[in-house]
Amino acid sequence: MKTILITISILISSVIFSQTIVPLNTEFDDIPHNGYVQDTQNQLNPFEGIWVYQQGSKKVTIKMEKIVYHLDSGEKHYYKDILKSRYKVENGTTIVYNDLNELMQTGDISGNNFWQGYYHLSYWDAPECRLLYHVKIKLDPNDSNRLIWEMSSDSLTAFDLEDTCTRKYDEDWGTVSTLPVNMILTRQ
Amino acid sequence: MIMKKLLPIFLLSWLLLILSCSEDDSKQALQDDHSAETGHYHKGIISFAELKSKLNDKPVRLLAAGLSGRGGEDYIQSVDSTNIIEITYGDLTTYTLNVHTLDDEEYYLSNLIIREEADSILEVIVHYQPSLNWITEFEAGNYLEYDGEIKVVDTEGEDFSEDDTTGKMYCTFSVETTSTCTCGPAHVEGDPNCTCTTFENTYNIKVNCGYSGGGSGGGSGDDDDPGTGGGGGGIPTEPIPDEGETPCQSLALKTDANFRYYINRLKSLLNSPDENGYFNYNPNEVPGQNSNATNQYNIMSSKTRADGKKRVRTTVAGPQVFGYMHTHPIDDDVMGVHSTGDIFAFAELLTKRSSYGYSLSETYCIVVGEHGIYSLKLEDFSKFNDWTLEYDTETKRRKFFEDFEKKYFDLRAHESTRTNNERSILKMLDQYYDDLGIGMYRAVESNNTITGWERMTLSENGNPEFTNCNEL
Repeated sequence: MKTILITISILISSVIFSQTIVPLNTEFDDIPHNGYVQDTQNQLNPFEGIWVYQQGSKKVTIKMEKIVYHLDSGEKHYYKDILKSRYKVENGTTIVYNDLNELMQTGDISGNNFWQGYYHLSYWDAPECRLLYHVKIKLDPNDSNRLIWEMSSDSLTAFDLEDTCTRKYDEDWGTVSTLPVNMILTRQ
Repeated sequence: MIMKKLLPIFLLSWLLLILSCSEDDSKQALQDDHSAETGHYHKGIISFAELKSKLNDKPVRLLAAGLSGRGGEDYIQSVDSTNIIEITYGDLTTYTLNVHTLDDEEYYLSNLIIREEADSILEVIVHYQPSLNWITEFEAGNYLEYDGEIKVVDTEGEDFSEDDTTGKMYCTFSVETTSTCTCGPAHVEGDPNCTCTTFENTYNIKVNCGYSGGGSGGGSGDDDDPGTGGGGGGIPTEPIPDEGETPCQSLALKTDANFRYYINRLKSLLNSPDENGYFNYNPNEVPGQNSNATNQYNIMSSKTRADGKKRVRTTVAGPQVFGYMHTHPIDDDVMGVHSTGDIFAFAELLTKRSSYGYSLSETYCIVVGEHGIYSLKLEDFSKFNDWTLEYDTETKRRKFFEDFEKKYFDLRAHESTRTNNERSILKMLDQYYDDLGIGMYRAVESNNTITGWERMTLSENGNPEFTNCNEL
């Protein structure tokens, strides 16, 4: 009798608390409240790892990890598997920026979703006024150990963020951003 | 072209610079104003030889660099030294010269103004782009108060306020009118030494600078001390008052000729790959400034970003800014409605003004896009107040907008059509309405002219719906 009761309780609980799982790129309207947008096809896995880009004496190291069950905000809550990144920029022996070993969950490069063959991320440039950039990445179709990185800027900049920091122009990158606009990174 | 030649002469002979810029703080700026008001006023034309003599031992970059042989990559390509206006006003002396710069074609007129006070020298270039109405009236012989754009840069063409690296200086510029005697010495109206009974208007470019402070801000925003009034962070510590004026009532004021002029300018720039914009501000709300002027417009500066395209930003980090309008260029990758960055900036703008106790109901953020003119407006002060109290650090706010962008990416239709864009931004604002209390409005246009505004909402089937503000 006790076993039956436990079994029934588990069944009822699983029905009540079960969570609808939908794959990445499910239309927003089709994602249920409290649902889970899961990387059911392991599309994010090939991006995980350490990636390096070298340009002269400048070196960029990016660490990417898949974060599962990231809780979104807004009126409709749902969980989602995303990519998060931390990075280091070196110029010879000088470290320009490094948060590589900090908590990945709060990384400044944060994944959104796939669109038109790219995985799209937001990049908040911490050392450069926390300006917001859009980043899209994809693996080189001919070599999965090469990662193609393309970056573009968001619109209007909140003045408080810009005015409480000092911008600097990076002659190597040709921009004011800490990371370059275009890179082809190599898997380590 | 004749007008372009006449205009410099006209403006050069009529412009008076009152630079109350202080390198200390805005209290000093206030004192500058008072001393100027009670001081002796003199205006005259001097020769270039006299200018050199007067500034002989002063660190004037223009004179040090020399006037001859200019061109090439020099920002100041040439200087017209035939008519130099010298104005003494209290302890200040200013010299104004007409100059031609590398970006001359973008402006109707550019002046170099050298401001001398004791051992202090300040050199700025003021670019003017008068409104079409002003030029039309001027051509008809009617000298109106200056109406148009002003942009102030240093002698290298960089935004004026960006030179300072020890603390972030913000400056505002406005054109104001002073009544001056039409006979005898050029006394200003109210000067007891003035015996004239008739006056003429002279145009004053008023520059006010102060440090924005920094840190977390907070407090009530004492007008005399912007350094402690939330210049850097501006998190309100007091509840934001619920205000009587509705967004529609506030937007109803945004159909005047001035506003339409700037909107039309932006519409004409939509095909440029770069963003362009104006900010709208009240000089009388600049901490420490003695001004009655309100509702002024000025060009938003822009910076070339990582992708080589310019994005607008503002160097005026003060609570006196109550609105932005800027373009989202016609581009497959650009939505013609507000982006996450725009909404973030609007929230910061609201936060800044609320920390000074300034009106939030007039605050707006407009995007001029391919498919229409859209404005964000704060609809629920209580919700926004709760949000500012909950997200009271930059880190928390950044995390909020990081998640915001994630959701925006998920829900937006990536093909940039009018309906798709409108549906996307409305869905997004709906998702976060309980947090931010921000609503969306679209300009009603007739024959390419703004005639009113309409509130945008989502219908039950998820399509944009519009209610004319006149019906609300």
